[in-house]
Order: sequence, then structure tokens, then C-alpha cells
Amino acid sequence: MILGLVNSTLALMEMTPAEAVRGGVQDTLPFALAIVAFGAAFGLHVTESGFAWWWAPAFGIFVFAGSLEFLLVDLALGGASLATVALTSLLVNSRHAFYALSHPLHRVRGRRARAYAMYAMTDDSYALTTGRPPEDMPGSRVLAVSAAVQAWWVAGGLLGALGGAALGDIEGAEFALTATFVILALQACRTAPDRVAPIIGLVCGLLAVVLVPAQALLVGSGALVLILTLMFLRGSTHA
Amino acid sequence: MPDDSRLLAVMVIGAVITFGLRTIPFAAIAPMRRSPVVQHLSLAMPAGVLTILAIYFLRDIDLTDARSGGPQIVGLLVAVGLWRWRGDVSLAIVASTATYMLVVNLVPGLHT
Repeated sequence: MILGLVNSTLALMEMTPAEAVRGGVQDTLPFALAIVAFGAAFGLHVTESGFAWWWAPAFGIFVFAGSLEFLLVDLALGGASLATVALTSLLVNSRHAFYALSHPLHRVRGRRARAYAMYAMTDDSYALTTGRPPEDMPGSRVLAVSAAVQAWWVAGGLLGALGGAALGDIEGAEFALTATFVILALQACRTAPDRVAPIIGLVCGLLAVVLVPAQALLVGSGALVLILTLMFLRGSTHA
Repeated sequence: MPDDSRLLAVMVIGAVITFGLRTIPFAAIAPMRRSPVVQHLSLAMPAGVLTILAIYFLRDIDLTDARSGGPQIVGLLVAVGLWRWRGDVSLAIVASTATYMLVVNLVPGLHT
């Protein structure tokens, strides 16, 4: 009875769509400068490779995958086979497959909104939205985070491609990415149900960075999923 | 001579594969959403994956070279300190990045 009352009060306090969108954009602000700087470096890379400026926003809109976009431009320039392009894309972004297990996509309502949230799921939008309670991170806020991250990235690409070398290198802004992921990890570890996943993540991450530096994220998160699954299955058969 | 049709083909392949990697896993786990193991993973994974992402971004810190590692250590101390003290993620990121940028750009001999 009391619990029911508390639950319905919580439902009443749920944020309005406008609040959720504002909150989502605010979530991305602290490291917007890092995304813009990284995007600007990409824009500069496009024009320095001899391609027209508009390729930078085109990649940001249609591919939207930070480091892969740099590689794609290099592969096109170097005359790599289309099979190599496909394999590289697969290897670089396979890690996203594991994000689906803990991304709050099920809170996003509407087919088109859902399709966009999947299409725009990057390391950044995953890290900012995962592991947060539904009343804090409703579907509309998930969408706003994804769209804001993409807007910063495309804007950065335009700046770098049009502004050239003057804007393509803001020294030190990239540190915001490091700071963001470290703080979000500490925050997630504090609210995690137990210490098991953070410790396994720590071991998998360190081993992957040392042993397979080129595929550290893919191998590290793959190993994490595997170990957590095996531990859970063992635990539930013992219980 | 840069070739636009080549770049278009490369962009389309990159876009299609990336989109597939972001959508197919959701479709694959949708029927298992209520299974105990997927429920468990959805709760346990965030802290683990974020730890791996953090390690990935920290991988290039060179502890043996004060000139490259120093500013990053200073920035991280500011970030973690502010986060623990004030509990404010945005403040910690903005202040630590500003500190890092100041150190890298103003301390002589650090600007690359």
C-alpha cells in the first residue's frame, strides 16, 4: 500500500519531455568541446586528404562513428578493396554489439525514435545513458543525448573542414573525453549492485589493452560478457 | 587525385555495417529481454563496460615521462578530487579539462 503510494508519487514527479530534452543536452555539454575538437580534426583530415568540405558533415551524418571515419577516408585514399573496408568497419565497431545488453533503448517510444537511438549509439551516448534509473534517464532524454552528441560531432567536422588548420587543432580539449569516461566509470562503480563487474572489467580492460591494443574495446567487453554470463549461469545452477 | 565515387562507396559500406552492428544485437536480444541472464547482464554490465572504456582512454598515459604524463595526472587528480568532493560530474569534467589545457599550453616545454 505504502509502496504503491510511493510509486505513484514518483510517476507524478517524472520529468516533462521539455525537461528531459534540456537535461539530455546538458548531459553532453561538459565534453562538447572534446567532441567538437575531435570532429574538427576529422574535418581537417578530410580536406587535407583532398576531398571537398561537405564530405565531413556527410560522414558525421551517415556513418557517425568517430575513429572509423578517419580510417574510412584513409582507406578510400589508399585504394583499399571494398572487402577491406567492410572488414575494417566490422572490426572497429563490433564492440557496439555488446552495448545493446545494457543500453536503455527499451525506454525510447516510437519506431522512428527507436531507429534513430540505435543508429546514433556511440561510446559517448552509451556511456552517458547506461546504468541510470528510468526516472532519471527516460527515453526522451536518451534521444536528446544521442542527437546532441551527433550535433556536436557534425558541427566539429564543419568547423575543421571550413576553418582549416586554425581550428582543426585545439590542444588539450581531447582530455575531456578521458575525464568523462573516468568519472562516468567511477560513478557507475559507486551505484553498481556489487563489485564483481567493475573488478572483472578492470582485469579484462587491462589485459586487453596490453595484449590486443588494436582491438582492446571489442576483446575486453566480449570477455566481460562471457565471464559475467558464465558466472551467472554457474551461480543459478548452484542455488 | 581524390576520387569522389570511391569515397562514396567506402562511406556507404561503413555506414551500412555500423548501422547493422548497432541494430541487429537489439533485435537479437529483444525476445530474451525477460530472461534472467539478460536481466542480470543489463544491470551488471554498465559498470564493467565503463571501466573498460576508462582504461582504454587512459592507456596512452606515460608514467615514466613527466612531460607527457604529468599534465594528464594533474588533470585526473582534479577530475576525481572534484567529483568526490562536490559529486558533480559536469564540474569535474569542465574544471579538469580547463586545468589540463592550461598546463599543456602555458607551461614552457610542454606544447607539442
